[in-house]
Amino acid sequence: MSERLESDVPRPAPPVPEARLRERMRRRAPEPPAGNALADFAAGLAPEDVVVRRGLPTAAAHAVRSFYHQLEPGLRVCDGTACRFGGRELLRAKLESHGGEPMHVRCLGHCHAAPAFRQGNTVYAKPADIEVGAWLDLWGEGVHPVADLVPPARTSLAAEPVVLRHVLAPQRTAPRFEDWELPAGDAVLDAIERAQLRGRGGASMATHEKWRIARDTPAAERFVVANAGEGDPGSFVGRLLLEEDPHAVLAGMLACARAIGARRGFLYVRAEYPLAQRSARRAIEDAREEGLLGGHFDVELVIGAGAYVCGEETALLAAIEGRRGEPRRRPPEPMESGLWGAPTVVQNVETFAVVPWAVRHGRPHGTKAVSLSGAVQRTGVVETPVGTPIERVLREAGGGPPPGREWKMAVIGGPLGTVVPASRFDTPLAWDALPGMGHGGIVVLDDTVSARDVAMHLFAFAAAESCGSCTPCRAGVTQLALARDRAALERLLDTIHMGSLCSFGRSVPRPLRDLLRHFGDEVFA
Amino acid sequence: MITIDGRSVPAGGTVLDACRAAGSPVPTLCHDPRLSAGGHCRACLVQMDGEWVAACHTPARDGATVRTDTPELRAYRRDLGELMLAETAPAGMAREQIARWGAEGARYPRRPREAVRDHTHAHVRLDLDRCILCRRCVRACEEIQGRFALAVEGRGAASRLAWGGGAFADGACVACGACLTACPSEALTSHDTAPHFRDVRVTRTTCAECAVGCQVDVHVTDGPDERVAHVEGAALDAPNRGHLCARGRFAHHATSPAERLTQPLVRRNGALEPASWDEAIVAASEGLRAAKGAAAVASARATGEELYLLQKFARGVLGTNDVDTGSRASHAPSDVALREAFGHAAATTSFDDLEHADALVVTGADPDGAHPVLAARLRQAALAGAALIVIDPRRTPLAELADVHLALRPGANVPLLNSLACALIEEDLVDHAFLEAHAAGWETFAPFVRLHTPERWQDTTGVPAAQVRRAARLLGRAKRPWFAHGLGVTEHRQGTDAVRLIANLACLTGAVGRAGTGVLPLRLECNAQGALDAGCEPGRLPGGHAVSDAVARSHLAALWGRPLPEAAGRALEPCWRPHARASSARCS
Repeated sequence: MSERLESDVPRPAPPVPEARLRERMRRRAPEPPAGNALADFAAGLAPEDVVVRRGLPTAAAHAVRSFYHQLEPGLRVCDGTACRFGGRELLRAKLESHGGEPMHVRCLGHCHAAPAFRQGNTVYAKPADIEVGAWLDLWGEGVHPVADLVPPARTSLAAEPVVLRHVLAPQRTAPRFEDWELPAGDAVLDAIERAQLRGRGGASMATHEKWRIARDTPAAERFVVANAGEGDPGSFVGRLLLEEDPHAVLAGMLACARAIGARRGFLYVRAEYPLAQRSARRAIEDAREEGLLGGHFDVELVIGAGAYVCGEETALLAAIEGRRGEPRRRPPEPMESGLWGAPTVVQNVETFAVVPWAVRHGRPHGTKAVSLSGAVQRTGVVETPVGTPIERVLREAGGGPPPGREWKMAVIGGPLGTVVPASRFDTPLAWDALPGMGHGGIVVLDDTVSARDVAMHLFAFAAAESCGSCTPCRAGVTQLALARDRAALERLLDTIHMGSLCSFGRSVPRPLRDLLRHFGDEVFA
Repeated sequence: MITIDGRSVPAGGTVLDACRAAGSPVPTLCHDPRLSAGGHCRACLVQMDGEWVAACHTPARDGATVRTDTPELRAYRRDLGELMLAETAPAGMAREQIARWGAEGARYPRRPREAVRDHTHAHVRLDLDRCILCRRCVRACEEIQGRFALAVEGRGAASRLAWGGGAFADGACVACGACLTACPSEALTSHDTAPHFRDVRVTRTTCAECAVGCQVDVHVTDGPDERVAHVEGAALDAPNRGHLCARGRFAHHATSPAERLTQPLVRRNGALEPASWDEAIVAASEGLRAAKGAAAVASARATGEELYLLQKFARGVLGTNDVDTGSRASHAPSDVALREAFGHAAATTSFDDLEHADALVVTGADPDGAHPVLAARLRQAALAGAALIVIDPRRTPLAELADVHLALRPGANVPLLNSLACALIEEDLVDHAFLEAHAAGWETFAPFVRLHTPERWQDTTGVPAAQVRRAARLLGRAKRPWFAHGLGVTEHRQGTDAVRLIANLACLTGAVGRAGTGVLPLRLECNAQGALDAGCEPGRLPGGHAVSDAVARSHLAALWGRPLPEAAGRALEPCWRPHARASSARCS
């Protein structure tokens, strides 16, 4: 055999047999169908049709279909933390009185305008300047609410906003493609290293290290993935960026592609963000028309189907492959073996939005964009230097508590984040000082809320979103709400924390332990 | 090195490997050494350098310190067991394991899943109220049989084992039984795995179904009503690596007294009547004496010793070379062609080789039907990335996985294989070094084959030329091609020529005499090769010597103390034709 073409070497076999089968069926199809199985289901195909279209085993098609909960948009009321404590029940009752049978969704990312619900692909939320009761009273008989597409307010406590540099610009005069002038891959990596960039989702690995590993792992193909699976109630920075500055995210993905040598990227947007999906799709088309995407590097938009745990990297990759969005065991890490077994860099959209700035300036990036909702006068997104005390953010950006209310606590970093009592609001917003802070989204709760209510809310969230793949998490979270006393709950939290396979189960106990520590018996009141 | 409970053992594998090496017992439920690690049950939790890790999928880090038995871990395991007992009611090994942790099922309120039971399948019964969702069955189905008949549906507490709706019997299960050997909780059982079969005598033997040669452990009940209780795959180094197919695992039911003869029968006055062995042998010898001539037909499922004795009886006692097997006709084309090409009338490769191959060419065979355990290995190799080319008129289960399925018209093997060789030569995808060193006749072969372009023969074969060329590229660019062919090649009129062409393809691609390459004729019965080696064919004596070979004849005559017939024997076409048709319809 005179010539062996190395380019014909098959990709490394993906670690999961079902993924291997899918890869094989994809490879042998004359024209692989676009999108993935999630898109097929969202388009209304039955499992039997997806079996034919994708060459999937029947059992696998049903298994995928039954994993996701948002494949029918329908009428859904948000169960996120801000909505739960911001009038969700009133909203639900109102919709029911209009003959609706609202289903559930966690969360619509409209925490700044809670409560919120979706009808089909439109999200309705309460404007900031009106009380819930008054808002609901405005609806005429059989007529739906007036407010739609309430964009979050945005502000900066940092002298030089980076994440929000475009969305804060007056009149949005910045050219959409200014970020796209990028140096070669090595220069990108050096600049990222100088900027001391770290994953903005809260994972601690330095971004340049992650990218170097992906670049240096031998492979025929590499991928870039932007994670907008922003499922945490109380976080909507990613939604704001995708809706108003998607070009920065795409430019950041392109920079990463240059640095690691990737030709394909995937922008994963969760099912609950219809507006962000539309805006991201338009931005990809724009960039293709300008010739910035499509040649050496192209980005495909992947729409989620409703599973919180898909924000976890390995679950996200499974969802992009069209599989059940279950986190898998590690190692290997995605940067060594990710999509279809190929090295894959996964970053939060906020990180990618910062990348073009970091590449241009090469200066350390020390700010964090934080979503602010709940019991403050002004909700929205605030960019603040890392290390700013919580209270300063709540007062300067949030304007303090609503008149006549007192703060009781804040849920920070989502329902798997951390609970900080008002007495500790002097704690700096920084990952080392505030373990569990994650993306830093803050939902402030006032003194009308009991610790018991918060605990029940967190229990319900964990029970609804556990993927069920490992025993301590699957069997444990359904028992949380039944725990009789503090000792029993702590035993259960230990088991879930010690044994769970992924960061979901390992994180469920943290905010609950915070509640027990700071509010004690009130949790069982 | 890694330190486990104070003992140092080599690092490198998983923490679980290290714990076992150190003699520290670590409980497992979802772990199965044949399967990839799942990490689902979390029973194997240990403490490594202060962190909680699942031993089954955590690499044993050099220099780390692991503790497997602490008060925290004991409390954790017990609580894990209590949580399991709150959602399910396992039996078997899982139940025993959980009980050893001290879990009693009283700590948490029971929130059992919906108790789905499905007993529709002939061999696999599902009782999901026992399922612990360890997914060993799912992984066994995927990783051993490559079948994907099982999956987990739903999410969170609503997760359950599933097969895509409807009755399990209507799903994709092929009853290989891999899941049965994997399930720790008796959620999946068969009539064979019922607990009362546990105390039995075990015999290691070779499965007598197809030609794969699976090693089996036959478990027999002791006592007066001795019978086969169940059959398990044995010996991880055997061709089956411990796996079996539906026939190997379950066909033993034919050994039950209700389904077979238990004593000789002699026909008297037109009716078969029970007789003693002595009576039966006398009756048989009288019949043979009275006959004008007699011939012997052997089953290639008999043992080598039986086959040898049968042809010895035909030649030495009946005085005839009219001795034959059905498989002789099915495999003579392979014998002739492979003897010509490689000097040896047998496979040049083994099943183990196919796992190192990067291109698999399966011609005229449906291994999922005829050689299921081989099919499982082929599916795994294809799923692991080897190119798969299936040449067969039928859309076989294997063809559904193929990169290229050349679905030719029946009988068109020769023009198709020639055009495949032509495409290899035209695109210079041939191994010149191998041809120069080991092959003869290139000068005449190449110009001849070049005439048989895929375009020329596409109307005859019904296969578009572009597909043939695509197959040629996959084959030609492979480093280690591996070929298998079945009765869809040899039972055609041009069977011998077709096998010659397969041998040619192997030579062109240098696929002879190297690990991961070779040509494998798929025999039908388990002892097809043995029947020929033992001399159960009209033209050849034991050891493959021609009947016309006077030296071989006199050697055997001296051994047997009987003269051997000189006249060539006759093939028993009228006898075996119907048999061959029936078996190829069933098996190949």
